[in-house]
Amino acid sequence: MSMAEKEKDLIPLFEPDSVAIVGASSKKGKVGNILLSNIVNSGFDGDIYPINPKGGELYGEEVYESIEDLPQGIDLGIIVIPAKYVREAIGKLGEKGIKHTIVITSGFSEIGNTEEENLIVEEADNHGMRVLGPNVFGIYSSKVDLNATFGPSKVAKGEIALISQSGALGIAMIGKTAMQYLGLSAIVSVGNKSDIDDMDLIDYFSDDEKSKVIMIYMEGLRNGREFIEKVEKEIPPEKTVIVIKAGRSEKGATAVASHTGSLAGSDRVFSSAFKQAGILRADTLNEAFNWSRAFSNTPLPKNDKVVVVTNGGGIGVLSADAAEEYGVELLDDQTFLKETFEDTIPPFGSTKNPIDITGQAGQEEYEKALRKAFESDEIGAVVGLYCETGTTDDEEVAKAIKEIHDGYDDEKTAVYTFTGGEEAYDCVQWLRKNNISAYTETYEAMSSLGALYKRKRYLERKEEMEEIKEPDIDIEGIKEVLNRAIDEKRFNLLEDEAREILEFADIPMAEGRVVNTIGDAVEAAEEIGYPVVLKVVSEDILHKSDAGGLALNLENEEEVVDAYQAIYSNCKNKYPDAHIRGISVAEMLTGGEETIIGGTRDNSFGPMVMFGLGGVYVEILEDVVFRVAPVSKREARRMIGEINAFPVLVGARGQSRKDLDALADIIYRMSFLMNEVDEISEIDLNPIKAFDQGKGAKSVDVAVSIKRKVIEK
Amino acid sequence: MKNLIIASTRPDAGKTTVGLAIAMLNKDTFNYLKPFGDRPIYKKKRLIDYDAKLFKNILDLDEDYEKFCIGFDHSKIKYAYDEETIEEKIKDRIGEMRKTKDSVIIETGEEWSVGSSINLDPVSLYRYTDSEIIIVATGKRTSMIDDLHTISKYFQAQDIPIKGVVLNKVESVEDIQNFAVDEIESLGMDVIGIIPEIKDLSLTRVSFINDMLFGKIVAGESGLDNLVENVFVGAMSAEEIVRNPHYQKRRKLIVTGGDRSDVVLASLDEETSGVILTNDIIPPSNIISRADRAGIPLISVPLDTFEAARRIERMDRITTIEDDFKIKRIKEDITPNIDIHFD
Repeated sequence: MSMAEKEKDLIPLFEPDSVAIVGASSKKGKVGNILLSNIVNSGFDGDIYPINPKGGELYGEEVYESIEDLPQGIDLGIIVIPAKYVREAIGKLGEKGIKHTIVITSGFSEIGNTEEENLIVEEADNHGMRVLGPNVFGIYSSKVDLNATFGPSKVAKGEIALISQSGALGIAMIGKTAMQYLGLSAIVSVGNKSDIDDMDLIDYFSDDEKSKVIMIYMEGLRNGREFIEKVEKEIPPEKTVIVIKAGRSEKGATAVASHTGSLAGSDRVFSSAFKQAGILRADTLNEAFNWSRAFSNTPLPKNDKVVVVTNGGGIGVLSADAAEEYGVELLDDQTFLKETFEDTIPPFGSTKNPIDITGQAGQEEYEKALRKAFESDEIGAVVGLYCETGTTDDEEVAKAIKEIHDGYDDEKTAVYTFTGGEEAYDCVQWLRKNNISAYTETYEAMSSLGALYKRKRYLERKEEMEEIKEPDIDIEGIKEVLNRAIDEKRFNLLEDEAREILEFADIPMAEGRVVNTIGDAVEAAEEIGYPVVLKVVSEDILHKSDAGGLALNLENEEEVVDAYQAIYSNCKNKYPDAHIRGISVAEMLTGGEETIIGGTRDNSFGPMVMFGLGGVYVEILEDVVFRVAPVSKREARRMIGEINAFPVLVGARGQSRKDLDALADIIYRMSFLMNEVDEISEIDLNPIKAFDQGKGAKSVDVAVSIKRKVIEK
Repeated sequence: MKNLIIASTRPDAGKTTVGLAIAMLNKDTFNYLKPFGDRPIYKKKRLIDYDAKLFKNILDLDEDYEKFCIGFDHSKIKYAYDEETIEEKIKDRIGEMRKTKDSVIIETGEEWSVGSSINLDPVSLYRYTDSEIIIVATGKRTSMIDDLHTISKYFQAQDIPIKGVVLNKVESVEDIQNFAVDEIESLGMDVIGIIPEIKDLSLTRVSFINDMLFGKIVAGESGLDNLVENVFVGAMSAEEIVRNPHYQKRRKLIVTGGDRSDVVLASLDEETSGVILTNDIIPPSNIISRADRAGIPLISVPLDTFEAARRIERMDRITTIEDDFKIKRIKEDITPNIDIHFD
């Protein structure tokens, strides 16, 4: 059969009217048995076709002896037979017109048997069939009450779609979500992703009205760039993607020469790219669950003003610390707070945020204070912290919270914690059961509120996002320069070549030229004007200061002459085999803050741009941010605001504000340069001196390297 | 009194040591000039020579450091001077130096032919200055005699007398006296000193090795003056290393990968002078603390282990002003072995 057109729509996979199970088994404990049992007992209303050569009946369903006996038009096939029979079964299911199949069986690419996996996909392709798996635990879909997994039979229904790259963890998460009253709309494991992958699932869940949160446990991402573009484009504002990305310690496998390359560990790149696409990255499963709960139960805050209501001073202080950590702004208008809460707070309480009704107050005061916070349109979000005391009944407090929520139709953003013993825990669970975002720890509640704010801010930014205009960069000129180095099979450009590239990209750099004699060095220094900087030019010496190949602030001819000799001598001593092409004489830029702007390429996300605090300590301080290239000037400006040292750039401690627009323009141009010129593997502009507002920014040093593949080709 | 040009048959023959030994005969007599510098240090934006620094301090000379050398690189000399102006420069400098001292010790390039193209070789310097020439020769007896035959022919052809020859770092003084001195003197050169090899002069300090390798001191700064006599490459397992007889030697410098925590840890004993950590890898903080406590410098370099060891092995173990023990040995053991008289 010739290759049929692939089914794009995944609706039959998640919302089938009929399911065939190849390998249904009567033996208790076998995957084929648990799977059938779950399907039959989950309340699935469609037709079920178990297949087993022994025939008979299982869980009240007639068992078919072979696939050939099945009727045409079944929506979904599930395969749980040994690996060597899978391909044949796929072919037979295809003959029956089945367009979606889940291959639960393992023993394929995950153990090196890639060839057989490819053959399965080829067979499926011949029938226009989509394959989920192999090596998956199945799917759960609340829409049709289908639990086609071999995991726990009971799944709590809700609005969270769970995608897992790990089978075992996925199954474990089913139980954990149920225990925590975290309702799921769907669960799917992607296994070896031979055909259906994260991208297809994002497509489906972005349209699925039952799924408000898409939570993904991810170990790797084949095409990160495509993934984040899809999330950015297709996930509507009312939905949120939360990712737990494992492998934080993983470092980029490729050897890198630049500062940018060495700072771009794959994990940092993942975090940056996710942030750019509005994907929330959780560090732990619990964090992901906490956030998912908040997104599933709670609307996004309407404004940035948060009020904490507590009956415990200590826990209030903890909440203030947590608020700072998670970027939650506590409302600080004392007049407003006093006016709003004065009537509800006992005389010994505090109307300063956190609003502390104290432990001596009862449930009534607590409820009153909460109601006040709910009533005020000025308040964007409420954090209710409750500590178990002898004067109040936990259960009554929980009921009051529910009542308030019912009254506001869940339109106010609110999170809660109950701190105490068993009763307090029971109240948390009861509130959860009633779709209220309750937690056992203040930090959990505040972190969840912080996640809601992150999403809110992202959506606001997204609204402001403009079409990225292309800067005026002479790509042809740049390619000509690169070709010279490629012809000579050089991975690293010489300084004068790198300078040319910056000129073509209209990125400012300190004036300079490369010379080969002391006389020319002195002449260049006199033309440029003292003081000057001398640097060795050699493709074999990348970090010049480490090699004694750099002399700064040379103020006269004698100093230039000595520096010239010293650089030659130092570099020849340290790198005897280095090919020294000359010495660069450049303008000595004084003043300004040292920053770094770089470009690199990630295996999954492609071209990236980096900004950070520059200079020789860049790799120690690691105060850098990344973005997937290209970026707009506005996004570039946002990157500048994200580094820890940002206050230095805006004039901390009496310093003058630096020219952030000039920096943003260089980041923007760098991002296009990386995006448009595929031959470049890495660029470092380090340092870039940012001068006072209106006075621009200039690169002091530049290093450009070419992709190994391009040279080797 | 004439100036004294000190030249050598080969690199590393000991010109500086011999010059220093002669200068120590009478500290007040000599100034020092090394027209073509070859042991540069770049500090405070100026280039100076290690040997110049040594002589300035030993002889209490008033001149600024940069006055003791004309240049360090052929291109610099060619850029700044031609045949005529270099002669003027040398004469001016010597003239200035002789205002306060009777004579100037003029140390030439690393071997006798160095500097010819820029007129800073011994012959040119002889012609520019009112000087006498001393040749320092080293090596095996036969090669030393060959070298001196060549030099003798060359200088005789130029009609330049040689005041004397110092035979340095000889394996056996007796052997030289019995089988070499007569032949050398038959060439018209007086043998004015026979100096045996002094092992202490090849010792160097950890700080000097660090400077030469452009290393970064990671720990144990208090031990930077530790002396290095032996170099040991820690490439095998820590267990094998401590069993190795070479490892048992005293005052040793260990060269090993920065990621070889086992080797670094095993090396932190009292016989270790320092550890060179290669490949720019820094060991864990507990090891750094232990090295600090033990006063054993850990020095990180970007080179691989082979390259670092190769460079240390080839390093010119010069005498610097900080090397008190070497200066003492020169004064006590070399100066008395040189028999030189000045008119």
